[in-house]
Amino acid sequence: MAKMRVKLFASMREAAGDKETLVEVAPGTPVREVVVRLVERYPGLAGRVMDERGNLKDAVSIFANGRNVRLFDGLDTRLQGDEELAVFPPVGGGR
Amino acid sequence: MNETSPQQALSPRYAKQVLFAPIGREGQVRLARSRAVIVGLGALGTVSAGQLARAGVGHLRLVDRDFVEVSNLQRQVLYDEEDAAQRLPKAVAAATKLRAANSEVAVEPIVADVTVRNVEGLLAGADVVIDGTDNWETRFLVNDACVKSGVPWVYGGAVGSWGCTMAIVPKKTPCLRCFLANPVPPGVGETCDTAGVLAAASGTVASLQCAQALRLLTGQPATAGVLYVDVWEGAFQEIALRRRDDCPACGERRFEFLAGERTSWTTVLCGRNSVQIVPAVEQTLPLSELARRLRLVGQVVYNGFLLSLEVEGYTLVVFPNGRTIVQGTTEESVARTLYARYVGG
Repeated sequence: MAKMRVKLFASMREAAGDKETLVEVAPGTPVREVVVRLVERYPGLAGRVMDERGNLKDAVSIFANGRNVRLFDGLDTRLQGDEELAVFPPVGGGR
Repeated sequence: MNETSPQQALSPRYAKQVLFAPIGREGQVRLARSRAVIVGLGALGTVSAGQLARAGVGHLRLVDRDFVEVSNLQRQVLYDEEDAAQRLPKAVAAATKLRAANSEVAVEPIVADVTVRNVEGLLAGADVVIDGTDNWETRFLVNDACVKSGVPWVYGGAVGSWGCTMAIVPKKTPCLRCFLANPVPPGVGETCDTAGVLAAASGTVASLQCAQALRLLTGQPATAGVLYVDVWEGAFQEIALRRRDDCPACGERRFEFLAGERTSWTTVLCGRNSVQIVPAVEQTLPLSELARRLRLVGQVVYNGFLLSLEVEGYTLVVFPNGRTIVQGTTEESVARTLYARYVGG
């Protein structure tokens, strides 16, 4: 099992109270499983990343090695285990 | 307004910048011959416009749909109390300040809402476009226009103490649609008007945008990836990003936002002193969540079916599919501003 680095940004970081963590991931594990384990580790993330139906929330992006998982199978995107995951809300404001 | 001459470019005004080796005399002359368009003159855009004018970028076009208010002054560095008292258009107030700071650059203020109809004209001739907007819809439109015409642009966003920026060089680096695919739907993301914003955050992001703009204008490659910053924590983080082969914009050259296929639809409701906004993408808004956030900024009534917000003398009625009626105006630009500010964009 590889240890995958997961980085949290902006409001995700505030909700978790942590910047990054390592999650053990077997090849073929879906992103969803990593999110579930993140929420177990950081209860403050509950409801922030996934909605109650298990969908990735609109305001959140997850990148695996620089690729937005929405462009693949979303939370069902399967990981090799050696990726770096970034979880964040894209910043829209500017006025 | 005169274009800056190469002689002016090498005046003592720019001595410190010319001493900076990656720019030097040659770079300074290039800046003087360059044209930048700044879209949006709020927290980000005022900082960018100020830096680029002082840096001697020869021609600056300033585009904004809004007017100056007292609540802008905490972070929108080009404006003062008199501008707010007069409710001056931001583009006009900004142009006055920039000309006073550097009379050698040509400043062209344009008071306009950036739309499908005018975006290509507004960005025409630019060597670089700077994002000073406050909503995703305009950014995706700017992305389409810039990718189509091959003009680099620099995305920036700031909310709370965080910010995010990325330089986009068509055909060379990932574009906004490689990054996000679609605009973040309104109502689900934090905006400056619901989560606040520190001037330190917007100022930092705009400074990072300007540094990228100076690189591009002096013929140097942009730095790669998305840069995230949290000024409160004192943290920077780079997120690596790759181009999508199947990107509709930079991969397949299908410009859906520019074609108007993906742009929200604004209609003046005759006789009702109201404007209706229909968002680009059909959605389900979490109205109870939105109500909770908006109670911090105005009078909110949420009846389980729709939400009404009284703020700034207007009433916004928000429906679960994102459709919003802005009461108290027949100006589309005012309605779009309020929509971006409170419902999100």
